[in-house]
Amino acid sequence: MKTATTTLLLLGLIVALCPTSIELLAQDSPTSADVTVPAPVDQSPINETVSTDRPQWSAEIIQQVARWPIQHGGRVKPFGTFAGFTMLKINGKRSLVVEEEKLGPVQWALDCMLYPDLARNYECILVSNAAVLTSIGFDASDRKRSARWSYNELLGVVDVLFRSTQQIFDSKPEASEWSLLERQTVQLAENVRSLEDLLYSFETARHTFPLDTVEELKAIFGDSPGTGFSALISGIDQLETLADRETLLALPPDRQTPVVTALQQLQTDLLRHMQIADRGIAFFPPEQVQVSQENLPVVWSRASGVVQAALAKEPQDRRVLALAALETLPQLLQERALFGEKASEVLDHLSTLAQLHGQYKKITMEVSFYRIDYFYRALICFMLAFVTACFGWLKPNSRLPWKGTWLLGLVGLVLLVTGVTIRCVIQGRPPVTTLYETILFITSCCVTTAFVIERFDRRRIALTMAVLLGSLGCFLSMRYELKEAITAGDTMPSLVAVLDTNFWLSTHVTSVTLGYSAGLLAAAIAHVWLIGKLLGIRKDDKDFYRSITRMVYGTICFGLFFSLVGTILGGIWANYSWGRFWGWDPKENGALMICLAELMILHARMGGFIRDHGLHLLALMNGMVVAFSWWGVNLLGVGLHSYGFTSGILQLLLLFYAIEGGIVLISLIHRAIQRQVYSGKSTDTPAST
Amino acid sequence: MKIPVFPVRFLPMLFSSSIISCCMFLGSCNSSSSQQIEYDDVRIIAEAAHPILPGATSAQRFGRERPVRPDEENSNRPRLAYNLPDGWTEIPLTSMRRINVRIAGNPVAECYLTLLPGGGTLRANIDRWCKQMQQDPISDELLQTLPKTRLLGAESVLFEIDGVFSGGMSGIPIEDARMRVYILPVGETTVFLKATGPRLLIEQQSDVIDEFAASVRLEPAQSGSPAPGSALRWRVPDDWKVDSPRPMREVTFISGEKARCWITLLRGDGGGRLANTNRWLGELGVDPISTQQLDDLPVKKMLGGDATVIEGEGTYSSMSGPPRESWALIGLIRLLPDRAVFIKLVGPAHEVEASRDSLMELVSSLEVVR
Amino acid sequence: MIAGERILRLFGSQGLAALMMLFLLILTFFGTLEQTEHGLYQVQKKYFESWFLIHHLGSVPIPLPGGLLCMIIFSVNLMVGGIIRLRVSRRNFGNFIIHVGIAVMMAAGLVKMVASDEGHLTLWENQQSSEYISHHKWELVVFETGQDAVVEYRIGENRWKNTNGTALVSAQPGTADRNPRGLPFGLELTGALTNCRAIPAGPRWQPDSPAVDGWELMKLDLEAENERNTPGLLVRMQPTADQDTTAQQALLWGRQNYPWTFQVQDRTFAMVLRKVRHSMPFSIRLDNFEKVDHPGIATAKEFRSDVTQNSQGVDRQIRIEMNDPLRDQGLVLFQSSWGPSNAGVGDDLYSVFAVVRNPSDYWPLYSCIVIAVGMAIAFIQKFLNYSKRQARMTGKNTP
Repeated sequence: MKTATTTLLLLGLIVALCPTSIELLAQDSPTSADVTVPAPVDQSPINETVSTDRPQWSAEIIQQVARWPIQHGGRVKPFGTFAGFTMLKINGKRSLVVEEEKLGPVQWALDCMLYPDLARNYECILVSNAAVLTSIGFDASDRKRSARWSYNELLGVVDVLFRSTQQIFDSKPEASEWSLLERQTVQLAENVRSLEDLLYSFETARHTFPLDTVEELKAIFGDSPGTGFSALISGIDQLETLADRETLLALPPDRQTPVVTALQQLQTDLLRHMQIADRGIAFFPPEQVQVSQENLPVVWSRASGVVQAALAKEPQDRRVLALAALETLPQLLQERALFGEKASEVLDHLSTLAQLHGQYKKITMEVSFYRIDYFYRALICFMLAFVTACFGWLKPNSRLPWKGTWLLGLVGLVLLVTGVTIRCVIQGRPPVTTLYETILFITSCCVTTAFVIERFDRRRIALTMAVLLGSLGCFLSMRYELKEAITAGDTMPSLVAVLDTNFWLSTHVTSVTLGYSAGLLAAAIAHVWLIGKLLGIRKDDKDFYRSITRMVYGTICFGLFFSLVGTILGGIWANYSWGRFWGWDPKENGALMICLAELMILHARMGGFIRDHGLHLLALMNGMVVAFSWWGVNLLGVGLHSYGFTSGILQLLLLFYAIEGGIVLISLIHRAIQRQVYSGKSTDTPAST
Repeated sequence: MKIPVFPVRFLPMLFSSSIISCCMFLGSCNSSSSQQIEYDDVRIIAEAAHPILPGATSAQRFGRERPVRPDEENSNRPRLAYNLPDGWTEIPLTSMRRINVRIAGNPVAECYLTLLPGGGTLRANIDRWCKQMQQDPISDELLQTLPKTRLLGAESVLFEIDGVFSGGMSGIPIEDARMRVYILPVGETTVFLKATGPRLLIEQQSDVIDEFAASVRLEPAQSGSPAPGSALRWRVPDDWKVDSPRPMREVTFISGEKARCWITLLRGDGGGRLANTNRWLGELGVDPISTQQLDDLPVKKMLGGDATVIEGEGTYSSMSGPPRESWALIGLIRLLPDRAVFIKLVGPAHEVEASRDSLMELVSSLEVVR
Repeated sequence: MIAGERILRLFGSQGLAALMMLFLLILTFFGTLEQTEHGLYQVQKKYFESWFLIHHLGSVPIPLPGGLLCMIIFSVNLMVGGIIRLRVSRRNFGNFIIHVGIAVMMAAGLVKMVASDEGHLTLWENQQSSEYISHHKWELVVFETGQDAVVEYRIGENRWKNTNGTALVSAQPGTADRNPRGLPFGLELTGALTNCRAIPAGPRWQPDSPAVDGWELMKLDLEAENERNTPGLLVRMQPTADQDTTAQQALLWGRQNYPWTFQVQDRTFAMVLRKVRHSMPFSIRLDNFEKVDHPGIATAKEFRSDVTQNSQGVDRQIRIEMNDPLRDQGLVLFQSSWGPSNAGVGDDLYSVFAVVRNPSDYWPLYSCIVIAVGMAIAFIQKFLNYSKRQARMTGKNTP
């Protein structure tokens, strides 16, 4: 027993603190691989023609590239984050195994950009419902219902897919009216488009513009002009002079036609590539800082923007250097050392530009945040802590397992809280703005509160609850992250105007969320009492049950304070911002229901209408009310059955309600039976409950 | 066993509250057939909050609502206005030409206004025109002494030259032609009002052209009079949406992701069917057709007569954007006694095909209002 | 006496409080679920501002007390049990404060329901207005045209909307200050429909109103989004005997293009059915509206309006933006939204302001502070007791 516990303990600490050990422990690690570890076998069949006959990406290159700052989804983020969420969205996971090599997000993105012919054969497009493919005329019968496809395999039906999507948009402009299949079709189209954008992002860098067709052009650009826009930009002033009316007319008549033809050809080619570049990644911050009193956001450009600025003769030396460095990368694929140097040169230029606007500060922090993956480690710690807690319950007299639980649980909590805090710092706003963040925040609050209760009570009930809720919460957050990747492309999205105010976010939303955590914690502890009574655990230990009752009651009071204050603050915020204190909106109603339920519990208890059993039953039902307010109201707006992912949430919610309802029912029946039994034996007094 | 006290305590309360609520419920029912009411209050304001049409019939009150901005009269986007001389006709604008008219109905004589950013020096432009007219460049002294006149209320230079002109919209070279240009630099832009055509005609019409040039002005759009709406009426096809209003168009529809369809109405014959057909086909890189081929084109019933249907497919190149491959066009031209109606549907080939039925629906639903 | 004491105790009991909270909880739950189908406005009227209702769970009808009834009983219970009859001592001082705070909030809600107005003000750039338009409430308005100032006689929708029969309005005598000649006709309003459309009279459909002048009203189902429901009714105008004019009748519809005009002798009058317009004591002109998007995506980062407010002849330049409204003379103007929703880049936009007149504007804030203070007191006391008891408990248990 001791050795088992100690091993678990050591294991847990190792997991928590060492980066690479995660690789060895877990198959589907969502972290990006730092070193190429010989990966365990993957089950999906691989297309025979795929070969990764390219040298593997080294850790330094991955590190450099992950730190490239880009602007996407309205904010400046590291390339690593963008690659991670894009991969998660398209592939469903942050890793892909291709012929025994395990690709993390940055590697996959680099392959897509720089080895597009290879990447087109990677089976990384997850289609969870084969009906989507059959509805556009693609025969998907040789795979399972949910499988991954490569771009080349789907190439034949890509047009049909986009057309179907357009038809859906035209026929039903309101997204809430779409059927499940339609949503999945639209989602697939978006994913394919994102993949295409990646595949084509370096297309111009590999392309040679027709800059040597006539002598006059050769005079400007030399005999062998380079590739990409940079070649064009280097001689753009002279090109403009050449294309000027006057110069053209000044040419000898026999030169005019060929030169004009060459220029037209160049223009057509340029326009085509500008269109391609318009779908690329916004790498380039503005060269100069523009001070405006309107506090307008800084808009980064794509490669096409750099070309346009060059045409407009705006000064942009560093951007041009950055673009040139980026466009040289495809040529350095065989010389990895040089590639690495060039990648850091790109990083250098881009980060200097970003720093001009003060937008680089958090990039390194964000890269290391995603690399360390706090929440996954916290999950492991909590799970191990729960295992040791189970040992503790099985062997009540030994103290070592409990020490282990405490230690692992605290480490888990520290990881969780650190992760939440770093997210807070990166975004510059309180950690409760999206549903995903509320999961993390509520988990932290539940665990912290439970630890505090344990400090006072010391019966290890709260401790066990803490680590159990910690594991559940972290697990739920990981599953929900996938959903956020699909819908928002990021878990740190830009906020709509109305929410963008830190004061109210930190007071109202935090308060209500704390109220949720307390309600859930009380419900969780109430389970212990109810199930304990059902199973007859520790029948005679009245203190045990009494202390649980006190815990539950105290937690509900605590929760009521925050719920009530939070709800009213929400009303005051609404009144201050748009003139109505209470609008019977579903989210508001959810918060009100929690306040009413908790108030009802308190008053019923004060009036003597319920005693312990009633209190715990109602506390459990209060947990159901909290779940409705937290998750249920979000399902209402979308329509209960119309979105694939929310139908997953709906199922989970209904399952939760079924289980809880079952417990309530069984407990009531059990109690009724008990009372019958006791009233039959008239001499025995009913056990005081 | 203790009976739960909960229900008993509350019976009287529930009973009384249900009595009260029943009374309230019944009380709110309106059982009387007529009742006397009074005006709530009186409000005094400076002017009526609603447009009044005295004697408006029910049809006028309830008729089809016009999709109009509440404040169209106050739009202060300036527009180019001019007094069109008798016998002159308007032809469709192009992306370069802000005013485009035909002089005295002559198919090869035109007068148009363009704005060019920068626009080049006077010498450069005049040299170019000289070349265009296949003449030698003029001397410096002549350049200095070019007559001045007024355009858009400011001093502009007038330049006239005779020669062989082959730069017109019809593409037909004119042997004995005259070009009369008014050049006005305005800040960074240069305004050109250019009249070209057979020499005799331009000579004869020179006073009219001068008057026309003098009448060109910038106007804030119709103030005072309410926007009259279109001279045509149509029914918007179910799968099309109405786009924001554009100058010179009666209406623009969004027919697909990129496909657009619009209706233009012009006085006179608008340049005629052949010229416009070939212009449309030219935009798609299709070869121009002859009058014979024009007459062989299919027709569709529109506005009580036959409208020529023009179709084409190719790479669409207009000045407003890069060339687009695999685009198509379906156009209809209907010449009325005093006006010409043009309907043009342009977009990617598959979108245009998919919108064909809706276009035909639109055509069938067209009616003349005035 | 004893019976009175009993009733008082009943009204002040905690059990009643718990019961009312339970009912409100159930109402809130059902009301939230119903909103997806019937829209917020209808649900609010049926569940939260009513005395009594029947909720259908599938096909099972469940009678429930309405939100208004529950809240009134709750407030009475609060006053009696939580404030008047509470023997205030050190132990339950916190509770007392909490109850006072909640009472203030319920009072705020009552004042809002009874004495507040709200609406919207939509302005294009350079447009000016000094009235705001209600979101939901309609009114019937009669006024004389062709005069210097317009004197509008108004009847709110409560009077004519839900009548099964007829509403009669009598002729108005002249008054010196407002309208010397008065309104020399009476009106008969019948057949009010809450949502309808005006269609040309035809044999193909069943009319819901008499046909007048070739048109009739067709009743439509209520829309979930209440702003789209358009009322209509039939009005008969009966001039007084001394006017040498015959009676006339017409259909009025909420979205008609022009008012109905009629002549009585030499005077022309207009009648219109419209959303209630409230005058503001100042005028607002929109000078500039800015919408700033997040870079690269379509979500608005912020939007704000620069307006000129003209109050009693004095102009003031003000900026109104999200979370920063204009408060003046009892009215509050919030930057609510903008349109048109299908505007492209460079198109003109209009700015929409939400306008609220609410005397109890600040009361919820006060009540929140009071409640928080009360709860802090109550729960700190409870917590201290708990830890004292725990200490004693563990002190007993350890050998």
